[in-house]
Amino acid sequence: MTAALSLVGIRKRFGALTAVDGVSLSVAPGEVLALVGENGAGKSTLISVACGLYKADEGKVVAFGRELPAGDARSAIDAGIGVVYQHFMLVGPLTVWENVVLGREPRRFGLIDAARARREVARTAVEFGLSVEVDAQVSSLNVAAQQRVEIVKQLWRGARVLILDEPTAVLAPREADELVRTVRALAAGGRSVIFISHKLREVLAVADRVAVLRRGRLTRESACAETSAGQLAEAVTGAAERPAASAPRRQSPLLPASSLLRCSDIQCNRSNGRPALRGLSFRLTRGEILGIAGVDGNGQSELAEVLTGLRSFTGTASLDGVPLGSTPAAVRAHGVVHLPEDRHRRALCLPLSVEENFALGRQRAPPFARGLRIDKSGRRARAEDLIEAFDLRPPLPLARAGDLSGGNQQKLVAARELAQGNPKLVVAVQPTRGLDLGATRRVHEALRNTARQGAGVLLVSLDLDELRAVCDRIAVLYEGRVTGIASPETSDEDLGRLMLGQEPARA
Amino acid sequence: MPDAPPAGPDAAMSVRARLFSPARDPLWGAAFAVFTSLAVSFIAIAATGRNPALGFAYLADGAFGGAGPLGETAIKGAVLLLTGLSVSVAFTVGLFNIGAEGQLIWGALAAAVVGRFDLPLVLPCALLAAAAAGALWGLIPALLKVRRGVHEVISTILLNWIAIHLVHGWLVAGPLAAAGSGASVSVAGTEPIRAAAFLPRLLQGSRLDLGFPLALCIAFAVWYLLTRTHRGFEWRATGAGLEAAEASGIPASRRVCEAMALSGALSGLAGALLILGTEHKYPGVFRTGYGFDGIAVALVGGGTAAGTVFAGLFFGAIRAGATRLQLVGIHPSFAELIQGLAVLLVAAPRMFAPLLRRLRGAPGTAAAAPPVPTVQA
Repeated sequence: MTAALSLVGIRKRFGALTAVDGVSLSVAPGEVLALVGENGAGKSTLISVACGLYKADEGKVVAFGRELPAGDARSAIDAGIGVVYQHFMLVGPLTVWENVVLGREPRRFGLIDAARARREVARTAVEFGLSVEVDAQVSSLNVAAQQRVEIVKQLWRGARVLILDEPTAVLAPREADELVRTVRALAAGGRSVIFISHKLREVLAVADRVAVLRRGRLTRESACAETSAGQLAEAVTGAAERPAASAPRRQSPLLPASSLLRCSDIQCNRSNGRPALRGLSFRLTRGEILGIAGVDGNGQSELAEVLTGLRSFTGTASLDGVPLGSTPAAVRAHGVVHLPEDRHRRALCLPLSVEENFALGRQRAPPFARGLRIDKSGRRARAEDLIEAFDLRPPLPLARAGDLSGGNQQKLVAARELAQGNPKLVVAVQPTRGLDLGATRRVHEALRNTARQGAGVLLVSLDLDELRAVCDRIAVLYEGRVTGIASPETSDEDLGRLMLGQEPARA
Repeated sequence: MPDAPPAGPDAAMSVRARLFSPARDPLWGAAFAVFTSLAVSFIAIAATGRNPALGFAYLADGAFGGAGPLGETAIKGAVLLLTGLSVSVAFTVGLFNIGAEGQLIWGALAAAVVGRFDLPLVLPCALLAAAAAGALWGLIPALLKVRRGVHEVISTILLNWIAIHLVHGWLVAGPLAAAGSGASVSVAGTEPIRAAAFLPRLLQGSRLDLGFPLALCIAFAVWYLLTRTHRGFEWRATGAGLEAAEASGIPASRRVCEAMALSGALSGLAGALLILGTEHKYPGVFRTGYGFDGIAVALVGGGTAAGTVFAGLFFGAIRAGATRLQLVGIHPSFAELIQGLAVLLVAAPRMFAPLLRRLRGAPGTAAAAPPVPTVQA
């Protein structure tokens, strides 16, 4: 049988970064293929190539036996490839049927044939068991219903291969279950579906076959029936590629273990109002590096925001027995420093110079200020010290922060946060994402040094290797709760289970 | 999706390219813009059949030909550099203040009202009142922005019209109108201020007054505040990366409000200079356009205090000399052509730079842009 869509040897580079590195994949008619991988693994790039938004550097896209011209979105649509993005492409003030036919309205005497359009849209919805109100105004619908409108839109336009980009990221669990049923119904009706997600359990429930991308390469492709959650977690986090010799780990701290940070029953919401943390509790001792593991989106980012004063919460969090503040300034005054996930937005003022960015957060204290004035010579001296200590390149205090490479930007942030003052608590979120080996090592070294000097470090990462290499204990988050605290020696299988909310094989 | 701009030889190149031309860019850009705008106006005047050399000679004479013209240039330059600084200060926290005109009007009115009171130190009082009035009017869009997310460009434009109609259409024509002016209310304006509130004249045969040195001192103070104090640094950090500033503990919303209050105060002071220096009352017809020209001054000045002073004085000279153009049959609006061209030429490189980069096929611009347009229902 001819594949509905095949990607053959796709390679795509952005500058020095190879986003997709020789990936071949295909999906048969009536099949659901799940595509999983971490952020930045290349999933989005790959589908952008498939639907003609990007032109691949190498490789070809074949739909129903016919090769598509590279980088031509129009012919991909004509060939029956439809994409439902995370951000819907809908016009709020228009009705459901108007949105579906927009741009391809059936016409009669030069006018839109509304009756026919409504009829056809309603028929498409019924055929695939999607409940939509044809005359409702789109902005009045909830997210799940808007998503159904998007799916109907693609089907009405003749999509035979549907690509759903993280479709459940915006849905509540019950809505997600319904979507899974819809996807199965589409497959039963002969359509192919490529389902992108990083929720492994859901993937195993919906798909026939699963493909895992890691750092732009296909690392696993297997039938879901023959795949366990643990194997999948291993493939996603790259544990399988790890060399046999275990990575070097730090010594246990010599300092007496005393409790530094206590969190109990922390609850908070996501930005969209859905609960993110649901009664999270843990303790962190002085000199300890506690890893936070979990599949992306299980509350890690929100935990970091709570601890750095960027997100309001209920429950108690106390540092040294004193309640943690609720604003970034109060939390900082307490000795909490932050290596945020999104360093461009949260950590750096890109148009300002390197030395000015070193001052950020400490701009009113020596050596950056004397009284009300900026202390230029003090700032320059401190900047030169930090640049040398962290091997920042180019070693120029006046370079614009936005002109540095990603690795050097992160070194700048790490130097500022870790090597100044005496931080009590370090909250680091994916601090080595996108960094090369040298920069990664330096950031890890800085985290270890800070812990050795008695600070507590909370390291959030999606990379199990990183957690094993750096952490004393690993807390696993699942749906906003700690499902277990494991030692770094715990097997991938057991960590994988914890990450999916299950009990480890043995207690 | 790559989350960081690709690092590599290209990134290193761009660092070097910028470092070898630090700060030189905006200054040369402005000088080039000014020169080119003069040259284009020269050609345009020739195209209308007038003598451009003669026109420019008259323009220069009106701006620099002796104590009187130099005084006019200084008076107008002082007002423009204050409104220019007003816009620049708002720029530092990332806000585009189109409302300098409205802030100037309230400042002028406050100076005209306070200047009538029999107070000791009436002149400083009138100046302070003008600054306070402008600051309050500048604070409104800042509060709307940080509390309700209203875009400052929209709110300041609307507030300009509210100020114009409240002051010109009602206060100056009604409650504050000079007594006994009767039917000619619309041209009469308010009662004159007391002589003690006049800005003292500094030179015989010229209208040059204390406003000019005052404006230069204020410009120096603003430069010092923005570049030498940590409060100024916090403003710049807020403008350069709002979320990063907030995450580092800077109360960004407060800083935005402070900067907009200062921005309004500077425009208010510009209004006070006009009233206390030359008008000596709030006139019935008072459409200055100095507030709007402040935007041009700030753009040509590159948002820096020093650049804004020079741009303000340049535009002041053009304004002062423009009236003389009529003597050789050239419409005085040619002066506005020079101004407009200068702004266009300063802004153009910034508008075209991304396009040029894309044409040269630089990495990290077109290719790495997210493919997915984010249209929310």
